[in-house]
Amino acid sequence: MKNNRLAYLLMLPALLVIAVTTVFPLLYSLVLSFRSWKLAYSSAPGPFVGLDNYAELLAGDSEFVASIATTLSFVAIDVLATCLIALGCALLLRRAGRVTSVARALLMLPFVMSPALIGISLRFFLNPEYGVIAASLGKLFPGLASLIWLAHPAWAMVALVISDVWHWAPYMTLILLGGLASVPKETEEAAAVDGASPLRIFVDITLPQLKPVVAVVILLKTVFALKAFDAVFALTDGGPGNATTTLAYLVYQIGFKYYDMGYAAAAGYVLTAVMLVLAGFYMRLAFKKGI
Amino acid sequence: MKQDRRAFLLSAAAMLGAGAGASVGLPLPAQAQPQTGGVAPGKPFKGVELNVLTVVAPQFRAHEARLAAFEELTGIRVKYQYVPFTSIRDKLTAEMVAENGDYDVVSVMDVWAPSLKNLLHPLNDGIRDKGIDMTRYPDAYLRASRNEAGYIGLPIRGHVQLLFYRKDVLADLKLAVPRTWGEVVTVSQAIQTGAGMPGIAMYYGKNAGQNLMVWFDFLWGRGGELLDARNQPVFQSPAGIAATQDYLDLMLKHKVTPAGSVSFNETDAVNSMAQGKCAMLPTWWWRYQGLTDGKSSTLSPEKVGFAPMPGYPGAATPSHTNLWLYGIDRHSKKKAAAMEFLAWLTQPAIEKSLLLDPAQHEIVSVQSANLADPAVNAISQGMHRMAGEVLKNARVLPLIPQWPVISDILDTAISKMALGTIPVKEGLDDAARKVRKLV
Repeated sequence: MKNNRLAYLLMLPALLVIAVTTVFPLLYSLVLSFRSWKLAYSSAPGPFVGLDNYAELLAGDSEFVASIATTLSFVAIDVLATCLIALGCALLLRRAGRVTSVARALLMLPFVMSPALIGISLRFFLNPEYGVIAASLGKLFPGLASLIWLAHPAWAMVALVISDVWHWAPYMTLILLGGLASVPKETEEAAAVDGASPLRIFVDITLPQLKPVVAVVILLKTVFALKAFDAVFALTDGGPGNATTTLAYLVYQIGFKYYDMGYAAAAGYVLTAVMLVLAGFYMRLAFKKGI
Repeated sequence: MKQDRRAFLLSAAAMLGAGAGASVGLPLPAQAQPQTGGVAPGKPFKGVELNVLTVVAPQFRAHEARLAAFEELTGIRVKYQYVPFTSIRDKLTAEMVAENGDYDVVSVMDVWAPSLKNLLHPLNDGIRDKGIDMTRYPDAYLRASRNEAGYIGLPIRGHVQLLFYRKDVLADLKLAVPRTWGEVVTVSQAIQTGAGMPGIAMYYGKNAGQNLMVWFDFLWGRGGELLDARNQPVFQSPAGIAATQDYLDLMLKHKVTPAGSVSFNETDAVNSMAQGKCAMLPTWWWRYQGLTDGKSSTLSPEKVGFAPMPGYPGAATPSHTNLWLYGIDRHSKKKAAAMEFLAWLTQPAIEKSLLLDPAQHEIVSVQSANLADPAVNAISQGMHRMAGEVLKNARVLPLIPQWPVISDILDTAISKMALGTIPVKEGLDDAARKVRKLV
């Protein structure tokens, strides 16, 4: 009992910090989502409007609906690409050796870079006049030589996905490497002795044992992709038109450009609700498998 | 010894103030005389520390480097905090909501001021008490500095648009600098044929309203307007449609822009010209320094000329101008000291000292006296005199709280129309519908 009290006491400073920096803003913005607050007219929140903000969002805001569609397509492509590339890299780097050790260490570099910086750099690299990536791809694939990446809705989305995959795939690779390390080598070796091909071993032996980790990677990446903001801000500004305006970016626009704080809070909570459901899945998986 | 130094600084400031006033033939207001450039005698604010929240600009770094003189005169210490342009409005918003007066002086762009009015302290009384002669500023900047309650900031950094062009390319091809948008097309076509480079770098990509900056000139030049007296949209009028079509046709029909113009922002277009990829560029005057700086550009000052923005034949060519203001945070507890600082900082002589300082390469000026100053113009090859002329007919954007949203709606619409996927009329009508719903 005494030990428990001490444990809680030691946790108290951390809990206080979390309460002030996370719990309070969350609750305050929830309250705001039920109020009208046009910051351009008043620096104090306005009256309670019940569910009006949510009703307006879900009933008739075409920008909101479009941003949900954009977010879903971004999440689907981004998560799939990140997970496949991370899995491929993890399998390549699985074997011990000097080269793989160095490569594993280097994997952290993209992850520690700021997404905004990655976005700005990629914008530069994709410049049709002097962008090194645009020029290289044009040489490799002549069909892409005249492509102006950020001028076409689909290609701008591809550029956004490239920026996000480059940032996150290395981190996901490291998680998957951890998962692969826990797969018993004996089962794979036994299958090899029995004459199974490497592909068969991966599909029938390795992947089933790696499934819980892959599931966690997918869930984590989905949550991170839903929140994608920095790259949109730095790379496309939501354009061309509003082709890459994700929900997180729209929330920022409504709040900090349009100064409609109540409405922005409501839009933010729609996004939060989706992420809470996914986080619930993640927690269940994590506790179930003891990850 | 210290007394002597203070007396010297006071007299130097007095001479600077008097010199600036005399140079434009304007008598300094009576109240200003004993205050030595707005500085109250007797150091009444000695020991006060002011915090300035400002956007990043070399001009403000140069101000900061001159603060020792101000501190010596007044005993007021001033600390600057710089925020990049892309984040400054978010920071100002946070300050407005927090209402804690952490900053005393804040930099605000003119079009943001109406939506940030709860952040800004009215300055009329301070301007009167300090005897600041507001006629020292061009009318366009005065219009951008006030709302219905009076002045909400003092002009500190203002921009006019100019057409920059490659002197060497035009001279080789014996082409005259275009004065109308029609001439821009013909000159650009001649450049494309003769020099093998696109004629003019335009920027139609979506990026914080940058694709509207030149569009305003087309719109106003054609006789169109953004909003009517009741703030209802009228940019979709026949004149607005024709102007927008002209604006986009440089790329869509005449194809005289770099192919990348469809996604360019202003910086991309500047880089295009700086890297020798095109021959002309309509942009803000402060970009001249980057265009001719050997570190970032392939061009030298000898190769880059400047001219007023093109217009339409037989019509006045109203050009778009924008302005940064220095205002006082409504929740500041040191408003009087902040006003003292603003009065000192905004003296024409301070600005002139930056313009004449060879180490600064500063171009930006908001004071009529400095725009007409022979010494300043000798250094800038007459750019300031030209800017002064442009400002006589310059226009500012609607100063209403909804403008940032309207700007975003138009930004998106222009970006879509530039892709060629929707016709101009449809794009403008759709934007007008959204604006009507908003206002």
